[in-house]
Amino acid sequence: MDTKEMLIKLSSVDGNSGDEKLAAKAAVEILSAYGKTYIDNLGSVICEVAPKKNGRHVMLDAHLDQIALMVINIEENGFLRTYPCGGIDRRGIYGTKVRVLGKDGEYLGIVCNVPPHLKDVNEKNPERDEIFIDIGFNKEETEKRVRLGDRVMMCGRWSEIGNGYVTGPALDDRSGCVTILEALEILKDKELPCGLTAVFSTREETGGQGAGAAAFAVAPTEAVEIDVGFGKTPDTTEINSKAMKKGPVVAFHPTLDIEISRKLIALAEKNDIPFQVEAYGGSSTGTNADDIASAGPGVRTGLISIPQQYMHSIIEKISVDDVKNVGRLLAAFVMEGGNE
Amino acid sequence: MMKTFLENLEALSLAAGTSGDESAVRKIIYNEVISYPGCFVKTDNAGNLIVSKKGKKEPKNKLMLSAHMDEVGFIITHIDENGFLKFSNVGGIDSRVIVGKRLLVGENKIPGLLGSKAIHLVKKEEFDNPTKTNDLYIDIGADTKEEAEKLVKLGDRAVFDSDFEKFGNNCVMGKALDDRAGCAVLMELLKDEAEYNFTVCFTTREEVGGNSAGNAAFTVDPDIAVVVEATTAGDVPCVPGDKFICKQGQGPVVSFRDNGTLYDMELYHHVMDLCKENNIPAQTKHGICGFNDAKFIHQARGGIRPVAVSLPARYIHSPYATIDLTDAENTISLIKILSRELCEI
Repeated sequence: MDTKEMLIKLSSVDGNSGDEKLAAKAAVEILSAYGKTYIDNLGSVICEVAPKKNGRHVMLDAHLDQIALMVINIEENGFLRTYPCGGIDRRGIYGTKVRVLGKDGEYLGIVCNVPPHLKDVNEKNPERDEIFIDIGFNKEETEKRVRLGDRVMMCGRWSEIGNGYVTGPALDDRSGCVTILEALEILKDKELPCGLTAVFSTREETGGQGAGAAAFAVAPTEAVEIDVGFGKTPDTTEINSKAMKKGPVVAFHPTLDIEISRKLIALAEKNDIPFQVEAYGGSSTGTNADDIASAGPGVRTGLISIPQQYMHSIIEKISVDDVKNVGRLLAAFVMEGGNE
Repeated sequence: MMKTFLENLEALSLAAGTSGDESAVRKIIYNEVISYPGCFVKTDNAGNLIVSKKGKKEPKNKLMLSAHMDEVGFIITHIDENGFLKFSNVGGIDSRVIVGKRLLVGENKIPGLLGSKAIHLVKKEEFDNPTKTNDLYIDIGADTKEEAEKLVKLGDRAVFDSDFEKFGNNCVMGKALDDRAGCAVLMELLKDEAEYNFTVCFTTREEVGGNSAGNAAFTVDPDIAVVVEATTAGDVPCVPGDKFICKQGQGPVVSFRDNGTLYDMELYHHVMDLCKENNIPAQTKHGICGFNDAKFIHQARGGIRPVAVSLPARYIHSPYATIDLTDAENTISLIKILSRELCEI
């Protein structure tokens, strides 16, 4: 399966924060080719590729979960009141087709919105607890089908777009998972100089609990997190976003191990892999790198981002070449990332 | 073999036809109604499809029924140096239903992404207030202006990339149900043998307030005109309770007034009475909102007595509107009755 097909295949499986089991099942089937693979207590998928060797054990992590909505009340007339699981974009959630993962099956619905003819009665974006779903049933009919806590998935379409891009929901961060698969494929017949564990972790969009727990269990000597980062669009700056198709973005941040960041750059240069650099401050990277770095006795952690446009929408967009190049850089880090 | 109401509605909903570019919709209707009994079809200079239905008798009152073929969408106005497209709305569209939606762009229907920066980069005030449509752009995956120009031309249109689905208790969702549902209702009327001669017009440019329906009325020269629409059902949680206008599932909506037309009160009451006599649930608009082709039709020539019958539709002018198929059945029944009764009053 080529990279583009794998991106679409893995992104098309449901796996919302705290309820990732379908995506985890698909991941286990794929990862089992590379080592003993299991699902831990928080639902993360852990693939033991090689045990610790030469005092070195690398953990590669990308998150498996995707944003969704959760039913918090059944309203008069059968409408569902929902609340975000992860950072739902309230600016554009109106009018989205959804699938409610109900009691005995899925129910199609629409995110309720204000027709333009009545715009003056409601001129704000919806609050987080004011996102309503219409599934076309009255209250009684709805109560038979939908329970509080049920998840609601935003429907989109996966496809190629333009020259070398893929678009669709959940590419944040299934594309990160695919970069790890790319690396495992490059490494599969090689004699590894170190231990290696691949983790597809859960609950990143709601706090990173899955990655923290997995890092404790794996106890690596170093880790690299792969997540999506902001891709350049007309309304972003060169500072807060990075170019599409210009390669992996290596991060510098107080949480991250500066030697690993520098090593990743050196390896990209040495192996002729295009790369970009982002440096930012603050108390957290906003990724699983924070949870991994602080797990157990602490883990030296690096972070690579895949430039992505329209993050947290149903039209997320990434470059297939960027995904491949992240995979190459990860493989180089495993093979050559140790101390000289 | 005639297509069913639902088959016609699906084909019409999936077709791309923004105002002034309705040919795909016109073709679907033409290809279907041309085989219906007693239908003589022509296209006028405004793009209206005018169907003369031959009945058994000459009517006392000459009757015209109409529904508009066009839908809201987007028109490409500029291609920037990095290959992003700037656009204007065609018809009234709230920016809150378009941010982050997938579109079909141009004659080849290539995918387009109606983008905006990621929510993580959005300031507090931008979160609460709707994004300005002028700040949005369409991404077709081109990296340069030259690459984009090979795929899209200025003036090309874009529509929502939506599915057509049945859902819930006998409801359907799809784009452009305003007013393809009205078109499909009138296609049902044309399937039957008619008692009286009448004319059905499938009109253009309604969503931009164009006078195409007025042109059709000028040509047809009727005494009474029935506009068949899909109108705002605001019986949804994000609209205050008293602003619902009409309710989905409560039957066809007969108007006495909207922002374009003061309807003929005698005909309004007559239509309501006919609903009662025939056990057809009906409602009126609880509020003055929107307008439709009647605005232009009733002022054509020496004046034409206007009637509006609408399907209640939620979420019109968004990627997915919904209608209750029971409302559609009741609207079809009512329109069939009106096609006889209004000819002879």
